[in-house]
Amino acid sequence: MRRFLTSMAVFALSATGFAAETVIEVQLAEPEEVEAALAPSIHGTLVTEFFKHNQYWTPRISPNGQLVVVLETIDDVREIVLLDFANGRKLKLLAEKLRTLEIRSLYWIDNEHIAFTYDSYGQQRMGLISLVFVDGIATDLTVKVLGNDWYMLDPLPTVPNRAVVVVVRSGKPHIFKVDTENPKESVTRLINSRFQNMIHKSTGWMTDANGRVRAVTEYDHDKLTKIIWYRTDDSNKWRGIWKGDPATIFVPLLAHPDNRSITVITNEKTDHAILTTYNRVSGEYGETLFNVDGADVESAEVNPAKTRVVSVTSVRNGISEQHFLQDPTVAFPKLLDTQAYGSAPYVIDLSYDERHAIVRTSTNDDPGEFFLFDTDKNLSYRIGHLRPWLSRFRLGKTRTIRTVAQDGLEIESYLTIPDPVYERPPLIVMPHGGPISVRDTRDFDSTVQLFATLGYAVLQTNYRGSGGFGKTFESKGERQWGRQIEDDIEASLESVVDLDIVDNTKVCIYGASYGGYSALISAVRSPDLYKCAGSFAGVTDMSLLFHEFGVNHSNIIRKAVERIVGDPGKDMDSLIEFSPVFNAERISVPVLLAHGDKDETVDIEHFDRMKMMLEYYEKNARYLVLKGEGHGTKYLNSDIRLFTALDELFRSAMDLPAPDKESMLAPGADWPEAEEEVTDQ
Amino acid sequence: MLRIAIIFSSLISLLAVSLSLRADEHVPPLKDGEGYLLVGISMNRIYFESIKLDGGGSLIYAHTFDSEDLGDRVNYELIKLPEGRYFWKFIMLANNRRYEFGKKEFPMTVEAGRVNYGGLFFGQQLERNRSYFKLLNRATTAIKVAEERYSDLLARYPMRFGAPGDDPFVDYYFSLPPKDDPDE
Repeated sequence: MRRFLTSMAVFALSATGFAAETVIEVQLAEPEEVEAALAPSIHGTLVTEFFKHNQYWTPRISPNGQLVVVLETIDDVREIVLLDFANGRKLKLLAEKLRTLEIRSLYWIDNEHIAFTYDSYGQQRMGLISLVFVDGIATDLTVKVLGNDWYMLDPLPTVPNRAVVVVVRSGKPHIFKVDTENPKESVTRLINSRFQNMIHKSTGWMTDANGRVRAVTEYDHDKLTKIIWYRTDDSNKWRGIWKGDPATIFVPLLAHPDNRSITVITNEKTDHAILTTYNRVSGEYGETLFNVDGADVESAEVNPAKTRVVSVTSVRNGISEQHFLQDPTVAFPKLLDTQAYGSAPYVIDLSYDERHAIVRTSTNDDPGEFFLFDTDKNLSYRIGHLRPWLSRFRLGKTRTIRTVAQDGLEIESYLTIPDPVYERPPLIVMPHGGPISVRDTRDFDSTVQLFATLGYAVLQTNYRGSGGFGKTFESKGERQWGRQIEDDIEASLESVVDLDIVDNTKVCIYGASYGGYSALISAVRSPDLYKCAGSFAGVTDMSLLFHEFGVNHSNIIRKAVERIVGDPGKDMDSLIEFSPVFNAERISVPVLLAHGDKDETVDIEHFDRMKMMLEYYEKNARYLVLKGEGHGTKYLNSDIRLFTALDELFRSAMDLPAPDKESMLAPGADWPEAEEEVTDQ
Repeated sequence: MLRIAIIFSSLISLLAVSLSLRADEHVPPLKDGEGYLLVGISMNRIYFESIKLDGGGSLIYAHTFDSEDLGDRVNYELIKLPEGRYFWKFIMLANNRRYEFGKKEFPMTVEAGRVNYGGLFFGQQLERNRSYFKLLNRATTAIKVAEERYSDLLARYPMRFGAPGDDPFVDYYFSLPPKDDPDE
């Protein structure tokens, strides 16, 4: 049952299972306009199943490894749940109705306190749950608000009652170490005021084990540079230790005890991003700690004590891989790497002693499960499945396709084939957004699996410019909008056609953001390849990108857009030549044009222009404005409207029968009961 | 100081010679060296008295939009001005506070003998004492407004993009042959 709550002044947080009930005053805000609920339908039910909240999300282990806190969603209620596996207890700490407060993240402040961030009508806030223990068992709790516009920088899990937070005041970040017991009285400003002005322009603060901010990343928008500022553990003096192109990866991770070296992820000296050490005094790199053949190191996980990097993550062959640098944590994935689970494990959280870990499993056709591993007892506990209800559907299988482009560049794509019940399925080509630095993977993807369940094969191409394949590959995608990027997509489509496993007479293209642009420009340049095109939040006029507020107020952003798109001062002719708006006359296939009316990344003017031109030329097009949506969807009703319209477009353009429930269901499974739509009184 | 600013603002309002033109009003023709400026104004949750457009110092190049003349949502206003550079100078709030803007923040140009689109001036209140303002390019809406309200004017004075940056769309749109009227 889904409830739509449009306003609420005071919201009760029920402490189910405990005697106490606490009330948080929620500042009254004007709610977003919520559209009327859609009547249950095949599409409505199906899209709801694929896009509703995960049943379990963001589990976090206590510093001593004894308790797990996790978000659990049942129907329209999201709860913060405490799992005490040793005592066999499951305690509901706090409950909230979806659409009223949106709890986003959980953090253990120490073994007795849990901070949570939540969104209330667009404002980020932070609350605190204090657990009361009797004989080692949590028996009671209190809840309070810590502050508005608070963001967690470092929960300092080993320092009782202390956390480092970013507080946004008048739009500018300030960093404080706070006493969570007395957040208003006991606050330590961690950055001195003189340096604070620089902090306002910075991102990426690195803290040490004591919560001291040691490194800051600043973008100098006038000089078009990125600067890393650093201070030692015994000094308040900040020194610039690295300066370079904003596009160069340089991410400080860990300060070494010698006060000279830091561990970083960088691609300054290599084509692919690597994990290495950097001597801040000499400005030289030390030994390479980890590199992945043919792939970027994309992220790294530091242990809770902040003494070493535990693992790095990269994507190879479309699969996210976690590589462990030292032995102790290797035990966790080995426990899981069995046929009993059948999918790649991923450690997402560790206790302070690293003897307890929370692990997630996932495959391309299974969103996966969370487990707790206890190496002391060599036991694993199942926390819960992310979306157990999806097992009732016939999900697709994804494989890697490799294509050599005309200029010899190897292009990696992923082809998802629906259940064999669909013979020679129609194909949806689905270019990703970006286009630069963004990529697709073979990890579980709700949109891909929704299409597969509806009977479509899906092709996702990591065209030139995509992230994760090194900076040379990325740079090859610059200023290739409507050109070599779409050549790569069409080359990968040709590879799929050669496999003779899809119906190559029934192919449509759909994407969001750059993918929406790609769909429209593909309909312009290759009308014989595609039966239809769908664009959500798509760029339609490349010159219009230079009218975005951020582009006009930041030289760094403007230069980046010029590098990726072209310079309107020099290249206006090509911006016009490769913009769908100025080529609408050449579109000959049916089009779906969808856009959020609050999109601040690709302004809705892109939609308005394309609509104006499609109407001028009287093209076969359908238009969808999603109210309240930005550059993506946050309302389930928007997903239902968008994917219903897309499926109707595909079926009409490719002459396909209406969707059939039986074909979508796994053997023996039942169609989910339609959710009752309720409007709150 | 604040009181002086308010009095000064009122003087500017009285002395402004430009006219805000509605569709149902007579649109005075342009003289040599004059052009029309079509601007959008949208203030979301901002309670204001007036917004001032300035030409850079001379009172006769200024125009003040009073809130009582504007609707609640998006407003499109056409005014007649001498050719030149203009910018949004300040917004006077209902509580007598005002936001000042620099000349380079929200500029626009007026060319003589043209209908110049100066962008949509958009403001939004974030907190009680904090708002943000930006100039949006909503040329499509401006074209529709101009075609609906001022079609005769457009026949004589071509529309152009007068907000910052290059936008080829306005010229492109008006270069297309007019669609046949199905009623004819």
